[in-house]
Amino acid sequence: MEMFANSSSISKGMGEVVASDEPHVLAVDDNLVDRKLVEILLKKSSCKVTTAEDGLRALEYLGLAAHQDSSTNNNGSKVNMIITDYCMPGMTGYELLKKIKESSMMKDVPVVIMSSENIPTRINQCMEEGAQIFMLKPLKHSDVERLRCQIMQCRG
Amino acid sequence: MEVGQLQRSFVEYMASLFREGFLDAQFSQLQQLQDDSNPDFVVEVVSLFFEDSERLLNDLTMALDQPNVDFKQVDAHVHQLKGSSSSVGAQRVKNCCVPFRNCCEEQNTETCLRCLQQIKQEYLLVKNKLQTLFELAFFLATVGAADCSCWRSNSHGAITQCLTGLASPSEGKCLLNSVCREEFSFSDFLVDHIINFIHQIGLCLL
Repeated sequence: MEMFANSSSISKGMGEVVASDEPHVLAVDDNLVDRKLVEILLKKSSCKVTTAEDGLRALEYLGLAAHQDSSTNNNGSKVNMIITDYCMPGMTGYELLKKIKESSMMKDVPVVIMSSENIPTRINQCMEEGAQIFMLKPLKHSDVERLRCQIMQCRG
Repeated sequence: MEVGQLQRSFVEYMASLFREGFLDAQFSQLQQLQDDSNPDFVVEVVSLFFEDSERLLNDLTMALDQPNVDFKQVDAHVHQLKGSSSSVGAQRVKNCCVPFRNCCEEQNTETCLRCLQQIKQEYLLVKNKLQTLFELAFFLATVGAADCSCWRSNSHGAITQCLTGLASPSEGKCLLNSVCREEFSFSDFLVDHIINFIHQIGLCLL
């Protein structure tokens, strides 16, 4: 399993009060089985998890969808990390990444891209767009443990 | 009663699933994730896999039945199936997906149909194996608990009698049947599997 980490450091710097010590992760995947798996893996690493089945629903949850204005919700400010599948119908993980990075509110939140395919051009494209890490599926417990360390460092 | 021996045979059965390539290391990952806070994790994820796969196999059948096959759509379904099977460790199903995607690229309906047939077979095989595994695990948990000195119900004695009685198959079978159904309310499916399994592994209980 290979992981490609973005070498620049990212600070969250949102200054909101976090109710608990558990990082809140938004997990996006159109595959039923993978959604369940990533949810359990994150919960095992003591993360609070919200899942979304596609990019649009993820944006809606974060309050970033085209039809929403910034006062719609403040879910986005509570999310410490977003982990998304690359291949999804409608909006790919890459397109979702771009939308997140374009948002002033969410641009500093680490975004992890997952894919079952090891395609260097795809990986580079995501890293250049600001993805924190690119991970290969299927995910294992050790992958998520490493992720969690990353999130905790980011929050520091 | 030889619960220990039964348990060892169960472990051997599971090992054979790995050896024969039905399951790979990812399935072990799932097993490792199961614990007291997620006691039914493996069954839950595998059930989702069954649900997802059956839907996808239906969609694939319909998609390939069209006069003008949309190979992009077919490929998308196979990609999904590859993902799910990979995530649960259903190795043989996953391995069927690669040639299938090649056939989609070649836009060849006939070879795609053959791939579909193959994948359906592999899916049914692994589904059967996994269902057997789960139900046997449940059986062992129940009967295994009977071995604890703290459980002193009649059922324990009856099961012991049954399993010993399997040395004379027909009588033992009847007894096992009635105990499993009446005392434990095991399904027909499970009872059949228990009987077959015990005979298959040639358990000598004398």
